Amino acid sequence: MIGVGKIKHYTNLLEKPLSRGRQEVSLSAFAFLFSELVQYNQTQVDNIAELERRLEDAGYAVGARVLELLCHREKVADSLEKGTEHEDEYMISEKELLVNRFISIPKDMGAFNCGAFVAGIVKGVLDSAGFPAVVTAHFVPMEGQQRPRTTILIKFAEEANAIEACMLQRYILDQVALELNVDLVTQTEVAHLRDLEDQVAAKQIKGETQVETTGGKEQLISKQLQDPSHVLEGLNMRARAKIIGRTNYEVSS
Amino acid sequence: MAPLVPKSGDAIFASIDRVNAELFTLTYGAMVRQLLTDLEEVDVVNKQLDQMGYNIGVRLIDEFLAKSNVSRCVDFKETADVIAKVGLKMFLGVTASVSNWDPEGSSFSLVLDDNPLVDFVELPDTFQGLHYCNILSGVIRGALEMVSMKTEITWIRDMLHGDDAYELRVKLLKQIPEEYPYKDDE
Repeated sequence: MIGVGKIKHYTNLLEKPLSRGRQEVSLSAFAFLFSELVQYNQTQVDNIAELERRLEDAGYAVGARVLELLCHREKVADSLEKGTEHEDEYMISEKELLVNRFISIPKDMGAFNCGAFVAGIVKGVLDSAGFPAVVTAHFVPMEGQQRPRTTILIKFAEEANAIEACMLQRYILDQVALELNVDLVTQTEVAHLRDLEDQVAAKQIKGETQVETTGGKEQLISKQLQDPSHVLEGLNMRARAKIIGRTNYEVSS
Repeated sequence: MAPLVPKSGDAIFASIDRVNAELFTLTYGAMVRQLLTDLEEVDVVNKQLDQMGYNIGVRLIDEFLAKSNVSRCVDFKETADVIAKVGLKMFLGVTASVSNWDPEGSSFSLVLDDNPLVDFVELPDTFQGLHYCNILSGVIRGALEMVSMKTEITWIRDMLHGDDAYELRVKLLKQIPEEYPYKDDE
């Protein structure tokens, strides 16, 4: 009877099937773990900047791996805010960032923000996808709210500015935000994109060539990624329409 | 005050806030990696993980008691069941089984088939002595110490070392009677 009903154990980690994005753990488990991480790092550094740096490095390692997982899963994309000053800046903002919820900053630590960890995650994801960026976390005080909002500011490096790159960056950022359970702020640009989406859908029914023209662009995007097919396969119809919509927006304006 | 009814692990887990387990797993991995880079020695890292777990455990027990409404455990056997069925479920979303009680009833084995801490992890040859999930043993030790039980916890089986499950041996060393920081008659 030995072996009956036994779970198959794989000798090689890589042969193990990827679990279906199972599960969840309690928020407090994560909060406790994160607090220990911060406390441990506090003992290893002398000042705040170094502490943030270390958290960012830890987050970076997480982000690099998160991307691997995202590429193998299908998800519905949400929305994202674009910075108004520069073309290549994006912001993800959250009222009460997960990592900051249970952390209180003593006065002598001033401007320290545990969001540095999340910033590191985002940076890790983008770097692994081939879109190097500078990612930082900021507190943005909000009127009428006790605790400031945390914003993750993403500034893409020069080489990542091609239109195709922008589309993928956007998609990836959406996914990252989803993974981090971040609620994204909707904004007029997104509303505009939705209009475009509807227009595209209408035009597709009429048989116009939007879909074909982006075929070439999709191939270009593929070359930039390390594991191209998975990301593109994962795109659902809505995300596809958004990307097509954005392309047209860029090209026609 | 009406008697509180203890809730099942599943019910509590469904009612609390949850996060993506992968984020949790990857964060733990990043932490272990940092420790290995800083401390280098596997034994030192094991100790550090245990200590961190202890720090978590002493605070975790408060939340556990608050959310689960369990009454005082009558004996150590009940404690074991509560840890395996309610505690682990509430925080990690997995249950464990209790087995291998010794004749006096002072030590038992906690067996985990599923462990969110170790998803996607493989130990390289240079770190074979590492108890990757040592934080768990610290958490349990810390939590139990806060409810007057001094325990010693060791790893018997570890999937990362090739075994088929995770087995922790929990041994009760002594029950510490509650001490008050003041004397009544002074």
